Amino acid sequence: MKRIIIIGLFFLVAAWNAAAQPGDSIPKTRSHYTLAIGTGWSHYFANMDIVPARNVQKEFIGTSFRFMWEPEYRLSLGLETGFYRIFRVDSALTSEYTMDARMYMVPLLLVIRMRIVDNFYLSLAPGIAVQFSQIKGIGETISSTQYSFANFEACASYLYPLNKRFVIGGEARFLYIGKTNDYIMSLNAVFGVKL
Amino acid sequence: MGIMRNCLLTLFCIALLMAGCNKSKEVSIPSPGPNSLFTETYPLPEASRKVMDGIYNVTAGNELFGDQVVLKWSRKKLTVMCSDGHYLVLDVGQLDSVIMIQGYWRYCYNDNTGIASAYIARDEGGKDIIEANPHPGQIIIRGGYGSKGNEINNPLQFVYLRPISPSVLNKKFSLLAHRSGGRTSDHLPVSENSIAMINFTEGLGSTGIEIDVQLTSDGVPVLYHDADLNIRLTQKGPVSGPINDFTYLQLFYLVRLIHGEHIPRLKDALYFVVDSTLLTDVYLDMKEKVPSIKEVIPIQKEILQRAKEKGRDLNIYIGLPSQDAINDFMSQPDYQKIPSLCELSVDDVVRTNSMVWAPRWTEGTQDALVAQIHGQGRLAWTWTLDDVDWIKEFINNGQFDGILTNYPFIAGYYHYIREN
Repeated sequence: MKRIIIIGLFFLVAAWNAAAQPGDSIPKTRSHYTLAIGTGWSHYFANMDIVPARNVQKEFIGTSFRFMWEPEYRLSLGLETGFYRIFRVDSALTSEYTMDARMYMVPLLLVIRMRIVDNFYLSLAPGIAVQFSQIKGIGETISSTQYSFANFEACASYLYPLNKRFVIGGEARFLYIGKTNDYIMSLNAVFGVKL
Repeated sequence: MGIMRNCLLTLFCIALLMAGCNKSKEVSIPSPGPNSLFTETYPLPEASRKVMDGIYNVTAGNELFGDQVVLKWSRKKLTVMCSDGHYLVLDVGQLDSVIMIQGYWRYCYNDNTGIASAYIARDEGGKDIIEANPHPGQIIIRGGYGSKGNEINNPLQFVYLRPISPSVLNKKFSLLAHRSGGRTSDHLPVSENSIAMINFTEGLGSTGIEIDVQLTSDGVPVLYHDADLNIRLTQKGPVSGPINDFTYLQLFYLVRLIHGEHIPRLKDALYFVVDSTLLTDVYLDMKEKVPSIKEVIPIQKEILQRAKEKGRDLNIYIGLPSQDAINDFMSQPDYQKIPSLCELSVDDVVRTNSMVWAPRWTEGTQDALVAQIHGQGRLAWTWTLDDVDWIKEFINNGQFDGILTNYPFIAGYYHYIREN
């Protein structure tokens, strides 16, 4: 039943969206490229089964880089990468062993962004990610790398043009990492330049 | 209007994606609850159990379990094997001269399951079973099963037809269960490649197991299937990445399999097999990324020695799935004397002096090659066969000595129901 509702909703939205575009898509800007750098607070939604959430450090500073192609229309395309510390777990396992486990991530996402109203954008971005983990405290320090191929980001941006070349603003993003079933959100201050 | 539409479309896409990322649901084994009469019963002695083994007509409940079933005792459970993938795993006890039976049924191709409860009255076979009469006049198992929750709402009746043919019982045919007894993806109550699964699998009718062997960074062979620690097989924890990157101690303290078990060392798993089960065959599927044959051979030798001391009929074969594995194997001293299983050609079997040839089932029944292998005094198994029709075809028309499957109760049904 749930599947039928989802499929029904899909066709409903698809049919709705298939209508001709209204006349508001008159180009307001010329095609250009933008490079944006953001940094700010990131939060990990701790969901580990074998470590209590209270033992997980979840707040970090994250950084994002976006390169966008912005044509004359509402939709724009681009690539995003960044660097996020996902979590740190630091606890005593036994009287003999302690553990310090950390995970970092570098995503590479294909961004599809839409201008909703002036200066306000929503974007969706699927892509891959490289995850780095480091374990200390039980025997030798182990560093491990893995790839996650099913990741997804949703992002809302407000970008205010300072002049014809520079923009500043803020971004709120939610990022899902498929390989490890991790979720993070971040609030970034953004500075961009039109190339 | 356009803004609203775009927002809705965006939210819908997010919802669809998130819904698709949900973990699959768990299937719990139904339980009759604490008030069951069963708690007052005594275990059946070994001789009595054998009386119950046999072929039964299904006179009630055949809409689920078919017209005939095979009942076969394992170490501690009575397994009812059906022709289409249904099975029952039952506990049996005696109360005066009545045999009390309870457990659950399950269908292997989906998550359908339910409780089952039955009895054998004194004058309907109970007395014969308790007295271990090898030629019971009749056995009628009466009871019921539930289709949802713990409620019994359908009648169940099995009537004894005949014993399992002595020629079938005397012929060694291995029912090998995959991944130490069953797959996590089949929603079993214990994790694949765990000691708990080895303990569980005999209840599914298996007589042997295949286990996946990998090496930790400090050279300890452990049981694990995938190349990396992931949320498909393990509980969410702070460790992920290639399993070969981590030491055994790190895996022990920081990783739990999906149902909470530790990743076992090969040595511990094999000690459990020899000391706590009646399994007769173990197929060590050597994962190829890190060569581990050198580390596995001493463990195999130690466990086989223990089995010999205990008078246990146990075979442990090192799997050779590739030319690299064969080369690694043949570089070991006295490799011809090491029990092994070769998945490649018959020539490779001869070259490695493997005791078992194990081609994949998609290559067919290969009667001529199997006969050639038998002529050399070796065994032939095939893997990994899960489809009912193909299992039936291989058992009825093939000459293999064993089948590796995720569903040993299906292979068991078609094996035990044969008349010769």
